Amino acid sequence: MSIESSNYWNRRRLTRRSVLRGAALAGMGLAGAALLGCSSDDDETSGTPGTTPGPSGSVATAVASPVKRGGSGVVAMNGDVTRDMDPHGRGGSAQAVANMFSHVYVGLTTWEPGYPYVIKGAMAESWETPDPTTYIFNLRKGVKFHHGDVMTAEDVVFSHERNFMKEPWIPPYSSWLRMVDSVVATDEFTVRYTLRHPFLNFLGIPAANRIGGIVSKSFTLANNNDMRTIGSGTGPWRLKEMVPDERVVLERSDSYFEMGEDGQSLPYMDELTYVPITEAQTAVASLRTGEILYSRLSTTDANLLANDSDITLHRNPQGWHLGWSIYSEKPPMNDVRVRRALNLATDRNDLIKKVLTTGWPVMSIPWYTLPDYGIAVDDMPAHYREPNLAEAKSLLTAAGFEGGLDLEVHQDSGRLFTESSAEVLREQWAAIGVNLSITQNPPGWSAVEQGFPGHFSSAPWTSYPDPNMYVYNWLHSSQKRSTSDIPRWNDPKLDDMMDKALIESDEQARIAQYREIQLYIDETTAQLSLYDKEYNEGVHSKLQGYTAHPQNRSDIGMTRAWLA
Amino acid sequence: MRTFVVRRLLLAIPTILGVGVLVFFSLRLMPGDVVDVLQQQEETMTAEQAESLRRSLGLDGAAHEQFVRWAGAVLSGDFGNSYYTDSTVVDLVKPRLSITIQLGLMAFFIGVALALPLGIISALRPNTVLDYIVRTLSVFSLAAPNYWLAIIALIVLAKFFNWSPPVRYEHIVDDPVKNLSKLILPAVILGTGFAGALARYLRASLLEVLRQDYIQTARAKGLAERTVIWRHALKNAFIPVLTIMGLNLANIVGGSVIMEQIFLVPGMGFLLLQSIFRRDFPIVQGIVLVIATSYVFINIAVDIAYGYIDPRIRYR
Repeated sequence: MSIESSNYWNRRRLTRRSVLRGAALAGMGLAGAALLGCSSDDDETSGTPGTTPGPSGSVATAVASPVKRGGSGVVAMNGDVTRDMDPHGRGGSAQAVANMFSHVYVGLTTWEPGYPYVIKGAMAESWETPDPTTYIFNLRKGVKFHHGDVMTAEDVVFSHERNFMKEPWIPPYSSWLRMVDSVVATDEFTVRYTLRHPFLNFLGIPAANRIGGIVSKSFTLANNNDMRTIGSGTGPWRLKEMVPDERVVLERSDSYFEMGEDGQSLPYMDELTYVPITEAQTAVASLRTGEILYSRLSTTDANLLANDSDITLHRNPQGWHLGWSIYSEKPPMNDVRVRRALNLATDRNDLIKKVLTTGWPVMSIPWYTLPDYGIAVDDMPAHYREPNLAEAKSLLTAAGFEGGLDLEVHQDSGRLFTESSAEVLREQWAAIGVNLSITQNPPGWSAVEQGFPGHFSSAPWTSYPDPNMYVYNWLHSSQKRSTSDIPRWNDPKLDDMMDKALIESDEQARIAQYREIQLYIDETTAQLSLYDKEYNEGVHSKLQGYTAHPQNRSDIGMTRAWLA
Repeated sequence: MRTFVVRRLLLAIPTILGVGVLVFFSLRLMPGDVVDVLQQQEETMTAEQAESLRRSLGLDGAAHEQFVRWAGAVLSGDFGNSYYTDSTVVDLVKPRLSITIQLGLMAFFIGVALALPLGIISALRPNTVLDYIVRTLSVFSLAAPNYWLAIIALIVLAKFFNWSPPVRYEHIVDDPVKNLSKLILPAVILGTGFAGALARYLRASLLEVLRQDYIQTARAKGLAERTVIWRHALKNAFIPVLTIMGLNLANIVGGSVIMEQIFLVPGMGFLLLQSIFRRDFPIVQGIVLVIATSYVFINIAVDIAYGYIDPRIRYR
């Protein structure tokens, strides 16, 4: 027997020449496939920077099936929503977490679904305003918390006061209630709010999920005033299970006040599970197959799914915006000419194109969620559509910086779009001789401890129900930087304008005043408003009836949605 | 052999202790602690409140004092509590450990099941079409990052086959079908990366053995080719491969972090990643100790198995 047997494989040995020939053929084939594959039009944007879209609502609306009850849906929430269900908790600073506990807790008022903001009664059945600083809410009788107790006026008072507690933590949004002087239970089902001054949009305040949720006084105190892992509200959903980092499971509450189209109480689904998904492609793949029925999406991913007949896209401006706070106490930022020069040299459309793909310039108050108060893109000063480098340079020269100047910004890590914006602004401002250095803050870095280094800080402003909140908290001289004595801004004229607008009780006059405020802020560049980006939600056809909301409140949509 | 095992076990103690020291102090070298992270999120937290929270979490005091407190507690079985959820580290890690082990073992067996036949065929049929295919795939599996493979797999399966892994995790006892549906894809991806390396090692080792004189002798004696390969060649070729397998098993367990994130597997790796971002030190310290301990014991097991397979090796 030969040691080396001859067989099929031995006869088919490869030579170097045959391998090279095969590789060349394969390479040409791959190159051809790549050329064909790269010709897709998936990168088309849905909005043209610089124009004013209306809130577009659904891009592709599937025909809704008739309402159906029952079933269990799984949806994605981007971000960690599984840590804190307390409606006055620390976690409420994150919108995703606030959206989560909004399923369980409801306030005196709430929003209608859809755009723009429309208020309606929730735990308050009706209200009276005998004068501009008094609101008397008549509570719905017989409403029960999920643990069984009846909601009374005492619970409403307790919930309001809980926003101001010092232990076990300080709720982050008590400043939204600064206009309230007192809250009193006048009888078992009547609550009187007395305001320090008139506040035209006050009814939007109890509807805000970060401060308005009503908890049971007795139940909360029995749980050491800590509702982070326990849920008992009057909302459409009960908390069934919360597994940190894994899921939040909500089940339908039988006693929610709002009725569905079939005459029974909302919601339609029996159970709703939120799963935090941080990897975008995992969310996209799961949404395509219907493993999840809803997810937030980036613009790129929304464009990828635009032609998928099983997916309905809701594409709207986010309702908050990115801007830069300016450390005006520091030279040269205390010189209005320097600030204005930067403002004029900023090309917002270029910024949007490079950082976001789709977005819109915005002044201090977003025009899409507050269409009367905000200034639409077409009506903004010209430099919001096209930068004015000549005037910017001449302002810098007048300020004594003809040779250029060095500025610095500190960026918190983990927010990709803010980091990218700084890079683009650095390029743009170089054209007028400004050298912007960007320092990345590591996680845990504290601006307070470091003494607010640099000349700016960048942060997104969240979505608010009233125009005052976009400007007062940031620019009134009474508002200090956190745990420091430095005012955020110090302009007596602006203070005066904001104080007047805050208490104005004539709506048309108030609208005019906030428009003036925005133009003044822009003229003095008290802050550098940049853009708002698109908020995309994808809904699988297995889920019907979902409606988007200006505050990105998925709870409002999920409560009215059903399984096909 | 007994002396060897006892000595190795005794050596494991300073090794694990060293890992504990390293992870404890390296975490404290990172900028910021959990209170800093919370302060960033909560503008209303005062400096006094921050200090009070730091005291209550045991984050005040010098690092070496904190270490002594922590090490003492660990020796008595108390790994501490999460700074965020107040649950004990053991309660948080225990259920996740079994999930990560399941994923790791699935990946390991898939890798071995792929690598062994391919490595053997490749070695027995050198420089053939099949050999080149196997070698090319091995290099590809080594070179391609597994997170990239994972994303591509998700996209292709969803778009062309309308399938994606379940998003919710079910225990294998409660729902084996859903459990395996969820874990099979990350296990295959982790396993193929491991298989590439293993196939190459096995091929090289087997080729080396097949060139030895005793193989020629075996063939000259008239033994069937199958007997030559299975009884003589493979057993010897397997010795160095066993070491690689052992090391890679530990690697798979530690390296499943990204797979767990992408495929939403609520395992130890996912918890480790979240805890690092949140500066939840007790969890990070606990998990790193678990991973280090598993490395140490797997290596001991490999060395013991080595001694049994290779009679030339005598442990003293």
